[in-house]
Parts: sequence; C-alpha cells; structure tokens
Amino acid sequence: MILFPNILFTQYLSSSRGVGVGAFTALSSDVSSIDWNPGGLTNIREWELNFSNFKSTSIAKSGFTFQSFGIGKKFFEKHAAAIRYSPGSNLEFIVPAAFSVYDTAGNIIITKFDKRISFKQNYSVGYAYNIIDELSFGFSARLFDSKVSDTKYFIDTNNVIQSQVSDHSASSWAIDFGTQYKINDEWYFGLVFKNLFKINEEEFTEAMRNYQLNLTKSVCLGVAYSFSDKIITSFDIDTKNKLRLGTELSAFDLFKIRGGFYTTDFPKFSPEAASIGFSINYHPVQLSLSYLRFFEQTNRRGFSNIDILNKSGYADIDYTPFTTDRLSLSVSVNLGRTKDVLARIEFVEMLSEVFPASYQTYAFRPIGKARVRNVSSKPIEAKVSFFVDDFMNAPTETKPFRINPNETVEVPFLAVFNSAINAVKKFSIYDGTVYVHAEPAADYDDRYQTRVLVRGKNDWNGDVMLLRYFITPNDPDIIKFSRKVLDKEKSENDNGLLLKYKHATILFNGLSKHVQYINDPKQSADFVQYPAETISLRGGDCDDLTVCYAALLGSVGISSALVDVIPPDDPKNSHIYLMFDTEIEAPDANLISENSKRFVIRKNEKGIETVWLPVETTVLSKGFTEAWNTGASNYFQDVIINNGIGTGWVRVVDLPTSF
Amino acid sequence: MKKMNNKIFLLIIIAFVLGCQKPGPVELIDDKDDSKLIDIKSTGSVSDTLYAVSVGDTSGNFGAQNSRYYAKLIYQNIRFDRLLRKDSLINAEAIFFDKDNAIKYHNRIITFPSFDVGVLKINDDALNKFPRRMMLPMQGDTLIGYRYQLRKNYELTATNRWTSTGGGSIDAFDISISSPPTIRVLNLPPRFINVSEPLNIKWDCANPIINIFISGEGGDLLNRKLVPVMHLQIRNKKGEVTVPVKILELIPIKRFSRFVFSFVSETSRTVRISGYPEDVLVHSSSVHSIFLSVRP
Amino acid sequence: MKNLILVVALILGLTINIFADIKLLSTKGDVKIRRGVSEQWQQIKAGEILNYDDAIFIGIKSTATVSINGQKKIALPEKTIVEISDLRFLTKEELLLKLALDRIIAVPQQDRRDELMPAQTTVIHGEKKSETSAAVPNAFGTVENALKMLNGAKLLFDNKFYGTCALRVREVLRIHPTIETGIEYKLLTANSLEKAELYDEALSEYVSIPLENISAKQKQTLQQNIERLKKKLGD
Repeated sequence: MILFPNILFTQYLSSSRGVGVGAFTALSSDVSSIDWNPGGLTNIREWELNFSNFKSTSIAKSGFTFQSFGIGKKFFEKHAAAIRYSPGSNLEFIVPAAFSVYDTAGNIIITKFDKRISFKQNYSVGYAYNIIDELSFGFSARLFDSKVSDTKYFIDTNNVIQSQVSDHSASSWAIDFGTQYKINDEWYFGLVFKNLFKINEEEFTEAMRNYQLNLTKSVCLGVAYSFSDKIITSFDIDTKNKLRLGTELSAFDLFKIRGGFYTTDFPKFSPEAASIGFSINYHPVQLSLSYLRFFEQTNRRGFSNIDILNKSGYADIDYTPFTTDRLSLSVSVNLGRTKDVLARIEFVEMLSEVFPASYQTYAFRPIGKARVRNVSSKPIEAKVSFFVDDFMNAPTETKPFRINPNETVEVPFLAVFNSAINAVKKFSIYDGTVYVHAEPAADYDDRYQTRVLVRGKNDWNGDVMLLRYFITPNDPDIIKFSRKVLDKEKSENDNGLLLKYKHATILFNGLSKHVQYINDPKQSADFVQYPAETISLRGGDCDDLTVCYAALLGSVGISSALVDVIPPDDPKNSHIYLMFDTEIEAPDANLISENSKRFVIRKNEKGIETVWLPVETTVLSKGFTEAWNTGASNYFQDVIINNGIGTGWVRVVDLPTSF
Repeated sequence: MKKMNNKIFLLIIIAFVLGCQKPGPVELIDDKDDSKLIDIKSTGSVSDTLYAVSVGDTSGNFGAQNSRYYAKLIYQNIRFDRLLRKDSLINAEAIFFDKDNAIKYHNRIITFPSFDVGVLKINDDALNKFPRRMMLPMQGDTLIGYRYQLRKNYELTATNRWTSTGGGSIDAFDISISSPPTIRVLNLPPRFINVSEPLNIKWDCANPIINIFISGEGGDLLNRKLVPVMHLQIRNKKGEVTVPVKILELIPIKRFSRFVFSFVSETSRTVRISGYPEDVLVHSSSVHSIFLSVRP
Repeated sequence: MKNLILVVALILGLTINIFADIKLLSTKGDVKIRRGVSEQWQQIKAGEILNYDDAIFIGIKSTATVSINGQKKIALPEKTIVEISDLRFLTKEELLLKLALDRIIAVPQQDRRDELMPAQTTVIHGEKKSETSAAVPNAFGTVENALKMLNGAKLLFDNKFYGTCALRVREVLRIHPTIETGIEYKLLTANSLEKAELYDEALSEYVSIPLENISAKQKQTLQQNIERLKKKLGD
C-alpha cells in the first residue's frame, strides 16, 4: 500500500491576505512568506509580529483555531529572518475501530479508534537576502511531525481480548527555496521550489512507513502585474497543475479588498475554490480577514473516504482535500522603525574628482548630484547628505527640495573636506555615501554608496578655476624668494606710478634666471607643482611657471589673473598665460605703451580702469619684454580679433594676493 | 497613539487566546473494509476442561458458546475438510444439568450432576445414553448422571424433532426445530493461511449471521484436543468477508501449530420443559470445519 | 533681448574671423606702419600687404590708398592712424559681444574677497622714491596720435565700418578722456551705434553726453537724435 502519492497543494493558510488573493508567490511580503515564498521575507521592515487565526465554516461546532504566531526581523539592511510557531497547522485523521469486541459477558469493549494519524507543522524558520533592491533569495525550513497511534489487540491469559494503543512518531525538516524579483513598478515575479530537500530527524518503524508524510518536490511560479498603485493582479501556477488568480484593490489609503480564484487540472481550469477578503491598516497594525469557499464539499466536512487520504501527497498540511471552508483572520504588527520610504536615490553622478589643492571649493561647488525620486503618493521635501569617512568631519546636507509624487529631482550636493585630504599623495579611490532624507522622516529614506576619487595633492584636472588654488602667495618660501629678488634690484624698484610694473618685471626676470621652462612629460593638465616646489626644483612647465609667477606677484601685492585659452577648433592645444595689474589708471596707459594692443584695460574693485599686462611665461628665458610681447600678441589675437572672451573659450580668472 | 496601540494589542491577544481550539480530526471511512461486519467475541476460559470442545463438536457449541444454558439439545450437520480427507456427519448431543446440586471441592464448583431424561430420540433415532462417572473425594467412583450423544451419517433435514420419554421429575417432551441454511465455504482449501494478509472467505449460505470459531489443535496424536481461541460473528451481507490482519494477528500461532476454522450457520431457541427448572437451549446448526496451518 | 542675442552668439561660437586681404596701393608723404605689438613705427612702401594686427600712420600732408580684397579702395587722409583690424564689418552680435567685453573682463568683486584665502599682511621693505619719468619712451606725442586715431575712426564711419568705429572711439577716449573734442566723438560713437542698429546702446550713449560743455547746435542735434531714438524704441 502506498500512501500519499502525487497530489500536491501549494496554497497556505497562514496569511489571510494570501488566502484572499490566492496567488501570492510574487507578492508575499510578511512572516507568512515562510510558507509562500521565503524570498519575500526581505520585505519585512524592522520587526514584525504576525498572528493568524481561522474558523471553519463548514463544520458546525468548530470555533476559532489559533493558526500561527510568527516574528520577523530585518537586519543589516539586506537580511531578514523569521521564526514561526503554528499550532493550527495540524492535519489529523481518525480511522474508527471497525469491528466490535465483546467480552465474555457479551458486553462490548469500547475502542476509541483503530488508528489516529496526525501531521503537525508547528515550527518553521526562514531567512532571506536582498541581492539588489529588486531581487531577493530566501529559504525556509519547516519541521513536520507525524504521529500514528495504533490500537493493537491481544488475547490475555484468560482468553479475553484486550486492546492497547501504541504510538509511532516521525519528524523531518523540509527545506524550501524561493526568490522574488521586481522588474519595475509594474511587474513582479516569484519562484519557489517546495520541499527541495528533506532532512529526517526521526523515522517511522518499518510497520508504519506507509504513514510517512510524503512531501513531494514542486515548483511554483508567481507573476503579478500592477496596473496602477491602486490595483494589482497576480497568478500562481505550479508543477501540479494548480493555477490561481487573484486581484487586490486599494479602495482607500488604508483599506484593501481582494479576491481569488483557485483552479486545478491546468490547463482545464477546473474551479476548486474562491476567496474574498479585505484588510485595514491602522498604523502599525494591519488586520486582514478573508473567506475561502470550496466548490466541492465532499471530504471537507470532517469526514472522508479513506481512499482520498491514500491518494494525497502534500506540499504542506494546511491546504489539502480535507481543508474546510474557512474564515481567516490575520494581524500583522510592525514594531521598531516602520516609516514608509518616501524617497529613493536612483542615481548619483560625481561631477568632479577631488583635488586636494582646492579641497575648499567643494564646499561651494557641487561635487556631485543625486537623482532623487519621490516614491510616495504625496509631495515630499527631500534633503541629500554626503559623507566621506576620514576626510569629512560631518556629512553635508542640502537645502530641502520639493518633489512631487513619482517625480525626480537632481539635487547637487557639496562636500566640506577637512585637511586630512591633503595627506593623499597618489590618485586613490574612497567610499562616499549619499543619503536622502525626506520629510517628515527623521531617518534617511535611502542611501547610495558612491566612489569618490581623491587626487594626489599635485593633481589638477585642467580647470583653470581650480588652478588658482595652487597659487600660494603666502607661502614663506615664495615670500622669501620675491623679497630676495626685489632686494637685489633695489636701486630700480622705487618708481612711483610704475612701481607694480617694475616689481613685476624684476620678479619675472629674477624667476627667469632661477628656473627653466620644461615641457611637461605628462599631459600638462595632470600635474601642477606648487610654487615653492617650482622654486626648489628650479623648473616647471607652462602651468607651473604661470602659477609660480602669479604667486610671486601675489606675494608683493600685485593682482594677477589667469588667461585660460581653449581654442574651440583645437581644444587639446589649450594654454594658460597670465596678466597682472600695473595699477596704472587708463589715462596714464601711455606710460606703459602707446600701442593699445600691448595692454588690457580692466576695471578694478573700486571701479577704476587700470592697465593690465599679459605675460607669457613659456618664454621665461627670453626675459620680461619678450614674455609681455608674446602675451600681448596672444591676447590681441584671442580676445580682440577672435572674440574668445565673448564666445567663452577664453576665460580670465582672478587670483588671490597676499594683501 | 501609544495608548491606542496597547488597546489594539490587547484585543488581538484576546482574539487569539479565544481561538485556541484545535481543528477536529477527519474521520476516515473505508467502504471496502469488512471490519464493521465483524464482531469479536471472547471465548472466555470455556469452563475449563469440563466443556472442552470435542472433535465432534468443533464449533464449541456444546461447551463454551452456550455455557450459560444448563440444558441443551444440540443438532449439528458437520462437514470436515482436512488435507487429503473430507468427512461429513450428523452429531447430536444433549444434557440436562442439575444446577441446584453442584459438586464442589473446596467451595469451588467442579461440575454439575445431570438428569436422566429416559430415551431421547432425534428424528426417531435414539441417542446413546452415556453414564457420567467421576472420582469424588470421600465417595470414590460415583455416577453423577447421563449425557446423550449420537453420530450418524450425514443427511439433510428441513426440521429436526427431539422426543423424550421423560425420567425422574422431568416429563416427556416433543420439540421441533427447523434446520438453518446449510453453509459451504467456497474458497478456503485446507492448507495454510498467512496472518500478515487479509483473509478473504466466500461461502454459500443465506443465514444473515455466520459464526466463525477458531480453535487450536492441541494434545498428542492419540488424544487430540481442540481449544477454542476466537469467535468471530459475521453479519453475512454479501456471502463473503475479508478478515483484516489485525484480527488474524490475534491467532496464537505460537501455542498451536494447526487450527480448525469452523463456519457455523445456526438456528436456536429456548424452551421450557415441564419438570426442569431452567431454560432449555434447542440448537440446530450447519458446520463447515476446515483444518488450516497458520503462518506468520 | 540683448542678453538673448548674446547667448545665441555664444552658442553659435563666433570664433575666428576671416580677414580680407588688405594691400597698400599707394602712398604719398609720411606713411608708416606699426607691426603687431611693436612700439615702433616704420616706413612702408606701396604694394605691401598689411596684416590684420598692423596699424597704419598717415602724417601731415600725406595720403595713402588701401584696397580690400582687391575691390574696395579706401583713401586714407592726412593725420590719421587706422588699425587694420578695424577695417572690417562687425555683425550686430559681434559688436554687442565686444561692447559687453568690458563687463565680462571686469574684475569680479566676489573673487577679490575670497574667504577661502584669507589675506595675510606681508610688507615689502624698501625705499620709495618718487619718479615721474616714463619707463617706456613714446616716439610720438600721445595726444596727437590719439587725435589721429579719432580721425581714423571718422574714416571708418565714412566707410560704413560703424562697429569698429564705435569701439575705436570708445577705446581712445578711455585712455584720453580729456581730449577737448571728445563730445564730438561721443556723438560719432552714438551715431555709429545707431547706424549699426543698436538703438538701445546708441540712446544710452547720447544720454551719457554731458550737456554743459556743448555748443547749441550740438545740443540741438543731440536732442533731436534722442527724440528720434526714443520714438523708434517706443514703436
């Protein structure tokens, strides 16, 4: 006799919502996922308590049965585990004593049953892991206990027949494996392998082997489609040809109604059962009630032909040919942090690498931007924070940005680095974290790990705006050098109106004698020496010399500006030179030159137009005059003739001085 | 909010504590199982050796089964199936115990004396009248009464008529009893059966009740004894029964190597006979006894 | 609207202009050339090609003729300095950009107060002597040359180079704000702008002319021009 061959049932009654929808494999999201799809456990938020309860409606005298109590916990963001006690997961059969036994006096000897067979699934555990936000895997282990109480008869020494009950038990763990995948806001998938492995704890003796619970392997696929945030439809199909369809409708914010249709013998769609249910959310409690009704009531009224049992195999013991119509009630309580996620970071773009030389700029110029989506149904105010460990003392936070439901906003964020970043010698990669906070949340709603590229202190990205941070007029070495050069030419350096012009000339010629122009072996945009380094190394490329000369000018209070030329038809051939303020006012420009091509007239901060001289440091060795001529020529061509400033490919960036 | 939550919590707990009923078991009904047609009756300790079944009365009708009657008129139409041998005979027996003068030893009833009812005939054949003798303490070999028995060739009769001339205080009587439907077991050759398999037995008999007496064959070659071990009463609904393993397992195969399965179709009634104080059992049966070896 | 044009111009990326071939056809008397950023004026003979970064100088009682692309001929009168780069037509957008250049290259105030680089006080020690002599010698009297440049600007106006005319006058007057005939040239600037169809700019140029030191005739012309422009802009 083979008990329990292959009829299989992959419906579970531990979740009222699951009963209501019928097809729950792709949608399971609470502790009941242990049954449905362990992959769904990752949807637990913080702590969850789950109770469920049912009442058979087809058996007159039945009261409420305590189905299960479970606890789930999410931890370390991506992990979730749950444990459940389900005293209501019981399947018990009684084989009545068929023959009557009389004693010698002709009185019947009472025997309660011939056999009592009970299956219990009272303890289960589950674990799941979110590989990415959309994809999770999980497994569950459910302990099945089987017990057979068998009435045995024997003839005693007085030839009187006596009965005695002997118990046999067996238990085993069934391991399920499940996954859930959310393709987008519309499509959800779930796949479960039921009873993939079995671990026997205790086995029946040979005589009772026939009563072993036959937990057959099966696969169930669930697909759900969300038409809008109000309506979601799903179906489950399993390898035992059961197909279930269900729909859930959010009538109001906190109220949902749902219905399911259960069929068997796929693809014949023979109707098996129908369900209807609703749930009410009262933060943090969700109460669900559903009603399950079978079309065929044979075997579901508390008695059944023994053949049905003999032909049944089980994925579980909840949903069987003997399951009665029922009203099921479940309650979920979310404890701990139960806040809804309002905002999500979809994408983070780092706008810049970090150049330690100019680390202060990131406090004012966005280092990156985050695309934040409002995933809630109401407008939110979101703030983005950014943090790099070690190099920042505290995360920065942006002002709040208002985002309408389901819209995105790109939020630029800043970084306030500390001076530790100057210790970075080489091009390195560090972890940075971007958070988003949305009102009225106190915690972050989402976060996004990003890479922060921190350059070596001499690295430069080719942006002239950043080059100015290499110019250090207050560096003692620079002040020392400029003082030394000026002191040497003391006799000539005391001209009144032309004082700045003279100083600039002397410093240029002094620098010319001290350092050499060297072509940068690497791309000149990669590496910039600090002025003191150029002085001590006695050489540098175009950028180094320009930076160094600007620092020397700055150290004696001469304002200067960088002229950054990126020819639009030849952007690789970009070039930088410098101009400085002689502080000679425009009407005195003839003191400098009668040829207006040789100077630039700019307004200073007081609104006075003064004469600025362009200087090209690449011709350092030829002395100041030649450098000026070349600079002026370049400026005339780039700016006056070719309109570079007007069209934007020539930029003038003012530099700091020490005064 | 916090208070509200506590209230909700309390409600939930109450709801669930109320819901602590266990779901009831599913009662399984087996249409094919014949167990419900079978009653097992204890054979008891058969008033011990006194009423031990004789080879003639394989059914035990004379002894154990009807031991509560003190007077019996038994007519049996018996067929034996043994390996390589089939017999059939008529066995008639009668006894009238004197209930009020029980013979005791140390306050324990050993037996009863029996009355002499004169010449007892069945269908005009006189039964042999055997004296019952017993060694009694103090009295030595003592006649304690008579018993009647007749064995004759097998015949089929529709009615059996008991007549007696009467004796002592008991008056003469004339009692008739109709014969029960004859029973013949159709599918049980006298070989062996296994207790580990349900035993299906078909018969040809219209009696709504069929009794099966199972007796162990004990004793030695010269002095064979049959010890009743089980009595099954079958409600004869379909001319057959499948005896479940659970019942077969009760057969004490360790104590006996061979068993007699006696299938009995009977009619019986009680009558009062003038001058005898108790009910008298009048019994007529058709018996098919099959000798079987029983294996585990 | 102006800003929009500017932006469009920036986007279109008006870059290097193709300069015409300019040839010195004939000379008479004192005609000199100054190449590039040089300080020196040097003699030049007829038939030489002029570069776009050159300037040409016509002395007293001297003249010269140049041809543009071998077609257009321009006679340069005496006492004139013309920058060769001015002998071109500027589109309205180019002119706007160049007029805006002052604003674009003006020193950004906020950068000067860069809090990221707090200033430290460093003193350069050394004697300060007062000396007035120019470091760079000027070969020509500066005011005379400025007047010659303004004459050149007039020539540009006459030859319909309104854009470069306006820019040139502006630059000269910026360096020589005390030139007596300045008002006349401011009117010339405004006229040029008007001709170049930059009415807003022309109007503000007219309005910026101080009324105290001008002749009655100039005043009348000025007011007529202002009225006309206002009317035009009001349309």
